[in-house]
Amino acid sequence: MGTEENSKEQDIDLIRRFLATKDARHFTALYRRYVGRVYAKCISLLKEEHLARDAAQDIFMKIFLNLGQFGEQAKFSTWVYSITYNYCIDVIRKKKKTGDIFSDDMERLPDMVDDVHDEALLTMRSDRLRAVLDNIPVGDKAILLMKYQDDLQIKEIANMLDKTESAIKMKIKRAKHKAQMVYDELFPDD
Amino acid sequence: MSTTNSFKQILVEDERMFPPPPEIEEHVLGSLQILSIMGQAMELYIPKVFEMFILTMGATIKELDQASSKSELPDGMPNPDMEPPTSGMAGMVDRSIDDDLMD
Repeated sequence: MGTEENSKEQDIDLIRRFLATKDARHFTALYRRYVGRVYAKCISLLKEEHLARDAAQDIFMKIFLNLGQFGEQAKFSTWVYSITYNYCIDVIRKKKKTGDIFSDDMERLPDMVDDVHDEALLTMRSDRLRAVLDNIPVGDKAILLMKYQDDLQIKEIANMLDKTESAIKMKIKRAKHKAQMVYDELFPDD
Repeated sequence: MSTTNSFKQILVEDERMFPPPPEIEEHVLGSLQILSIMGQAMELYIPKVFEMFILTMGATIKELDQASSKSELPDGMPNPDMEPPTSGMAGMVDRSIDDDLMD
């Protein structure tokens, strides 16, 4: 936690210095700090390297152009990831010609699904979790990544996807349930 | 509570498996430099262009100098050269031009 706090301070310091001086070295430092993660997320969601490369370029240009609007209430990493998810979700929507990959009418599960414990997902072998995530709808994958990979708060996810907090809680619950079902199908002997 | 988090492990593995191609850095930092240069050029020349525009509208160099010297007065100090604020549309137009010049 201490390291995260330090990193947050350093991010903010770099942003302030960049905004005050417009010295590209400060933005370059921010870029190098986040490009690996942003690109990995783009690959994970978009699956194709050329799409991920274009997405990462556009995401960093958005970050650069909107850095002055970054409110310091949120962590910079949260802001960066929200731009990344929104961009990738938009690309997927356009590719699939789908209105909303988080749309309620895409849900096929009843409201009353058993709650899957976080531990079951968090302690899953990484290769199996990867297989599970690749076999659930991309909207469910994205929401699980936001919650468990990036530790985004329900409120932050709700703001990012323009949904209510209760809708997000339900979507997470359903996504976990789908992940568990896919796991049971893929690895029935476990 | 267990500290294991396979989601984070996946991210670390993905970062290792898919290092960002150098084209991204070339593109982003190249664009950044171009935009920075354009920004600096605009900061330098836009006020001059605006002054030229004001001059073509009929203002004199002296009026422009007066307008820019007003911006140098400390906050709250009344400018003796300034006329009292006018009411109505005329005053609004005057003030908006002054504001622009002071930028």
